[in-house]
Amino acid sequence: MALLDVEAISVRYGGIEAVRGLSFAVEAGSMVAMIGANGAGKSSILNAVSGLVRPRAGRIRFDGADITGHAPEAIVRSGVVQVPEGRAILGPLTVAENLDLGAWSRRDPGEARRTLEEVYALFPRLAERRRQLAGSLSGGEQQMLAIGRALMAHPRILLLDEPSMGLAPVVISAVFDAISRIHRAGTTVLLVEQNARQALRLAERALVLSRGQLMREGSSASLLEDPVIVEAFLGRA
Amino acid sequence: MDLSLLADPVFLAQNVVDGAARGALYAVYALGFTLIFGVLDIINLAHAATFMWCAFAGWLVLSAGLSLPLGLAAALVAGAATAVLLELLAFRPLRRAGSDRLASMISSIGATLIMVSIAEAVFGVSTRRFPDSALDPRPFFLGGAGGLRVSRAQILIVAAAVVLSLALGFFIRRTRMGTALRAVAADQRASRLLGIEVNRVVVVTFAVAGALAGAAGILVGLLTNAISPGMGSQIELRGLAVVILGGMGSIEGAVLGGLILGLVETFAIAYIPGGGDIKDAIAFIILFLILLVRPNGILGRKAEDAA
Amino acid sequence: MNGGPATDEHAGGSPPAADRGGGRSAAPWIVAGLIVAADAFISIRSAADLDRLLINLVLALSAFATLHARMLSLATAGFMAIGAYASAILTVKVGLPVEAALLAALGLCALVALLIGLPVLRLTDVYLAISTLGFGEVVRILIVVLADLTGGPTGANLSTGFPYDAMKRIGPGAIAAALALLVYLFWSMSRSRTGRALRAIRERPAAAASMGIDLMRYRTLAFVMSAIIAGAAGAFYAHSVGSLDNSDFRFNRAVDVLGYAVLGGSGQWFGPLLGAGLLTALPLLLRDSLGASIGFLRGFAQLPNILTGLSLVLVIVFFPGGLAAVFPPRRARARGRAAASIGAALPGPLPPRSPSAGGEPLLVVAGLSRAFGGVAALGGVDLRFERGVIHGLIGPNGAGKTTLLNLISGAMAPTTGSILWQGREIAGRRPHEIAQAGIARTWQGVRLFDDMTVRDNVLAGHHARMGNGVLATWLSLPRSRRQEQAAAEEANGLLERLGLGGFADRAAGTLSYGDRRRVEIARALALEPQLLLLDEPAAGMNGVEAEALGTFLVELKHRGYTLIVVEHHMELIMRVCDRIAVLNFGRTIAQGTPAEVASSDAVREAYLGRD
Repeated sequence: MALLDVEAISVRYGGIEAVRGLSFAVEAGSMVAMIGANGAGKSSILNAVSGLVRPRAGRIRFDGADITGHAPEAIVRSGVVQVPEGRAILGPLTVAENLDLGAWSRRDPGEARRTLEEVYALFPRLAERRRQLAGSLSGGEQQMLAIGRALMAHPRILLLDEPSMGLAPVVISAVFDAISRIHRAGTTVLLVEQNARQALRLAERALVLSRGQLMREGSSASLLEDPVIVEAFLGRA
Repeated sequence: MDLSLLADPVFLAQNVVDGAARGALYAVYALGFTLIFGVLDIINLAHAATFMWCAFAGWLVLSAGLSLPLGLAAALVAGAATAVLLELLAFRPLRRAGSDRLASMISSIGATLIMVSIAEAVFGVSTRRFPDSALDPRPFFLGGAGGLRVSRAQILIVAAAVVLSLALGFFIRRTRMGTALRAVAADQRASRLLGIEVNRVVVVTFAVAGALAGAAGILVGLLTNAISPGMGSQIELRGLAVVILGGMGSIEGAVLGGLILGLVETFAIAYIPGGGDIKDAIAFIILFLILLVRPNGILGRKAEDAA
Repeated sequence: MNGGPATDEHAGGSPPAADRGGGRSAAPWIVAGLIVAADAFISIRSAADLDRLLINLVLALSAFATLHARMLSLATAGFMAIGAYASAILTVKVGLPVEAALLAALGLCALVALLIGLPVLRLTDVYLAISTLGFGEVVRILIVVLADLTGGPTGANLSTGFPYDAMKRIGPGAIAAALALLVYLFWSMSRSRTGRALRAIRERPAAAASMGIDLMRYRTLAFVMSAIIAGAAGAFYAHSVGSLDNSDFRFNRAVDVLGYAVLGGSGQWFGPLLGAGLLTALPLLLRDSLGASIGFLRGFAQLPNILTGLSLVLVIVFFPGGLAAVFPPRRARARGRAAASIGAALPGPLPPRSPSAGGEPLLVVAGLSRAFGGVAALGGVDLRFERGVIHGLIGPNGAGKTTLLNLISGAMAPTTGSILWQGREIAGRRPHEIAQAGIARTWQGVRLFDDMTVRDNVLAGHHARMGNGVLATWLSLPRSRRQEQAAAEEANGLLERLGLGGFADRAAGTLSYGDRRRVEIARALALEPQLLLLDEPAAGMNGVEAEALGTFLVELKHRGYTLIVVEHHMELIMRVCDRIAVLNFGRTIAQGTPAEVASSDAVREAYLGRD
């Protein structure tokens, strides 16, 4: 049984049907990439899984339990944690406060402290800047903070919405490196990306979306060579 | 104008004392008001009616012969309860429907009207006095009988302002819930994604703000010894002026703004002939000027871009 | 998060769905009239009561003038006081005939409104409200300070030199006549260019500005109208009651008037009249009828206030459109068949654009930057847009495409750089000026005036090309009527050509997303722009629809329009655009023909990532 099972969901966004009858599954322990051009509906899917928007049709199941339309706070508590698009870090708060809030839904403060140490180990730059205001960090540091904050919630599945957006290539490698390490440590990851090639190199499996529908699904290796990728982004030649 | 007034240091000092006490009162009132605005972006004009109800709650307890601490406690509890009720009935449905700030403001105006009317119906429109047993009304005289006069109420108010603003600052900056408040103020959506229950945080915000209104209510009763159902309208406009002067959402700004307004008003009454009449207008003039020149106040948040 | 005092953003949602301003029948008129008549019957025991009701109706229209344009002005009481005292002083102390005094008082109100309006109307919603709150109090204090003139805190009455006989000059007939005049003025305004502009500002100020509507001008108009009407109500009050008390003009009065407008709904002029009628009569009705059985009601002096307060809270929370919104919109009579998609029905030629003057580019963007806080959304962009060409603007998420459009259309001002439009610098100009200069736009996620009819939406686009102001409307000048007629015909024609003819009288919010997109394009075309900026016009469209859109865009080009299209729909862009500019990280990374761009490594890398 897959950890995350999305069944035939349709999601509206701003009057448009952003996602239509989409189904996919993410196995526990795997990293799946969801790639596609802007407007393909990727963010809408993550928002539906996180409970920020209720799908107009379909079901979302996490670890067997139906979480469709549940409150976001409850979904976070069950271990589905999203790193939102644009990072959404809390600018007026410090790095340490942002991370601390990440553990809001956890019960054991001791465990939370341990996770904090792990996050600082993973992102030493954050440790250096722990008392700095989050709004003053660079784009890459903010992304690391956003990821670290999500890790503080001890996620069973980590949803990442376009972590590479607005970041310079060098920084993107660092971020993806961290994501890879998180995955190798055992966390299931669903990575939504516009940066297709890097996402495909990172993940074992990938879903290619176009205008709200699943175009192709398969192993990253096979998709890397597939012209459908180019088509999905740049149109038919 | 009697120029000799200017040369009188005791008169000056007296006005400083009176102005500081008045300003401290405004500050306590403004703290709760600015808290709700800072966290929720709501201008809660019913804060004044809450303040008034708490003054009466305190009055009831004190008139029954109970001690001042109990009266204070009653005012705080009444304030918190009233504010939470307001949130549940007048604001939450609007938040759920995604209404704009004007709608919340109008809703708060309506709530004020209802609350004041109920108070008038129950207590009548006349002014009540706090019993003398509440707080010893005999003032202290520094420097002999002709010297500086400081009443216990004034000392209490200034102390309360200091304590409450420090406590609020501590709460906001050093407690977990306070951090959650700041998170909700910064980004509600991101807060939900962190697992923070925004509705719960909002209730806490209102409870704290309401308690602060309660403190202000009972303090004003002690200071002026006159409470009436219409007392909210006077302080409401001053509260707005203070918060806009000091910057919406800023604790330090509320304190600073309150002090400035209190001092300016007191000095106007003392040194300007006919100042007693215009003292009510001072707050509004300040309000106007600040809105025109520096809309975000002295210490407020940075202005967004104008379209 | 939200705008501060100086932001002009539309903070929060547009007026609620229930408040459909378009396509109403005559039923509300009749019902409103009946209710007011019933009111009169119930509550009026004397001429004084009738005066009071009529004055409240006049005040209701004062509130309507501002609330209709989504401005919360709490200055009603202040202007009422100015009108009352000015007229009283001029009549009694100066000896003017009451008509002259009245006019002079109204003039004074207008002047004061202009003076405080200029600085204050730039503020956003709640800050405007707060500043007007203060105004009323200042007036009250002024009256006390100028006691020699005004009679001071005891008011204008016999003891202060304002004898009843000199004051009492007006009866219900005069007030009713004034009310009828006001109703006519508001009725005719609502069907005019000015009325449309105000409704557009009410719904989406930014979109209204981009249609060439000068926000400050219309807000000032609304504010001054509101002040004059409140002043008139004050003068009527002075001359019908025969004496003035300072407490007649307390803040409570402004709240009562707000209650009329909120209860009745500020979408239509008759809404606040309904509200005033109800809130004046209801307490009396309850007291008299129920008071017989429920004893304490008879002495319940706070009943009117509680009803007003309840109205404010309950209406805002549960049916924000007020009572007027309860009336269902006229069901649209289908006129002609609506075509399935754009392009399928393009019979006649669209208005041709003027031929290009010389070979210089239409729009040149140089060194354009825009930073938010410390982040540069655009960092030094140089682009040239030739006339009569379809330009594509593409790039990954967050590349700065919409920011660039916003800078061109004036929705934002650049941090540095220049934008030359036909040789003139337009960087930092206000949106309505840029629209008037010939640049129209559509928005990401359609921004229509959902509560106006489809036709009125398109007519909003005509705004800049029409010249009939509110005075011309009121005087019903032939020129004005001709312009309205011509514009309506043009709008109908445009809608027909876009296959939307059958929807002309429907509220725009009731259409499907795709149809609304087309209405938005029609509205932009109504401006007769030289340049059309389209922000993701194909969002949510399937292949067939996108193809039809593409055909339509090419058609537009052949008619002489220049287009800049921001899109993610690659097939559409590649097929339709003559030139494409690619942005990433706020900079241009490629420019050229579709073939050049598609084969560019830099572009592939931007979208797909580096290998």
